[in-house]
Amino acid sequence: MAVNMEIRRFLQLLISCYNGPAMESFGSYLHRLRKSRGLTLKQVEAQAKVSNAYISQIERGLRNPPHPDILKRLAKAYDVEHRELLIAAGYLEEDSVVAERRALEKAFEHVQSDPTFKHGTRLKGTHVSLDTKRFIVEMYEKLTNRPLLKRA
Amino acid sequence: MNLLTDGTANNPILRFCLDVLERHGESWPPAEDVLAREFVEWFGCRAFVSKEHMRELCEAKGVKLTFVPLPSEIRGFNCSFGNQREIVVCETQISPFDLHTLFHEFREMLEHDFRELGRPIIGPKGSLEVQAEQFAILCRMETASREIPGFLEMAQNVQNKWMRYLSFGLVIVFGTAYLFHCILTPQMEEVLSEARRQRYVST
Repeated sequence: MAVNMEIRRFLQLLISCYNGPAMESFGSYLHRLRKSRGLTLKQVEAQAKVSNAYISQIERGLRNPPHPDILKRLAKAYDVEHRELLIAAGYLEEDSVVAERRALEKAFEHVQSDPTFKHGTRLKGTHVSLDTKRFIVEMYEKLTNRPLLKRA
Repeated sequence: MNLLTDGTANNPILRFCLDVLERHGESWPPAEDVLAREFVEWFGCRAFVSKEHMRELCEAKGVKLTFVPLPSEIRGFNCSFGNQREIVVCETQISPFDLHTLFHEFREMLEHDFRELGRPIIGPKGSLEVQAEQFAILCRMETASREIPGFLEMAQNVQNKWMRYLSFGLVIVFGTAYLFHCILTPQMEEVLSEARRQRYVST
């Protein structure tokens, strides 16, 4: 059983290498989304009424993306648009707005996880909008000289 | 620690943190008002400063200060990478709210350095945002309290008896009003931004 899983993981790794580093699997996208919302598998299970074991398997790439109806419930739990999950799962074609937003969220998480870049923001309230995330990413790019966002 | 101390020549903020650590290491962490007093002394800031003067003061401490338009929910931002440090303050912030934001951002930078030195002031349960707000209020009160003796001396030198009383009265009234302004800055900002938002919605 364990050997089987290892082989599967290895094959997935090979596939992801073949697809190129820019492609992110649905499982790792879902995992990243859940972590960014600070949710545990149990919390998602309670909110979306989807088994935590099933979500865990999807995140690890052991299951295919779920049915659109399940994605609708997950979208609610993760506070994202249903359309965004449908695109990530491959049910719909990705449009440029969603692609840009996903790239920004990913870049912002990279900034947050870089221990060499220390930062702080004086915010009105607690909500961090996309504009704010873009500003922080741009400041990171400026100071570190590491481009994260593609520009037209 | 040694690695950090070696690089302090290009890093005045880290030097300041090490000095604070040296003075208060025995009774760590120092009270917020003590830190604010020492910071104002080191920073050399007055109660009323122009944006240009703020820029010069920051530059002297190795920090680049810019005033730019920011997304609506940000008042200020600070970041550091290696020896580069930058503070961004929303350009629409009027004086002395901008000074409050500047002190807030400095407090966050100081905490990052104290953490790096292995001596954080704020514990795991504390909030850096809350502490930085308190620090900003205390710094502004400190700058004001440094100005008041000078004004009182000026009032003392007024020849005419009634004019002298009036001058004393004005110093006391304005001094008290300024101190209240320092304390109530966060609340006043909320009220102002809400009023601005409603005006925007209605037009």
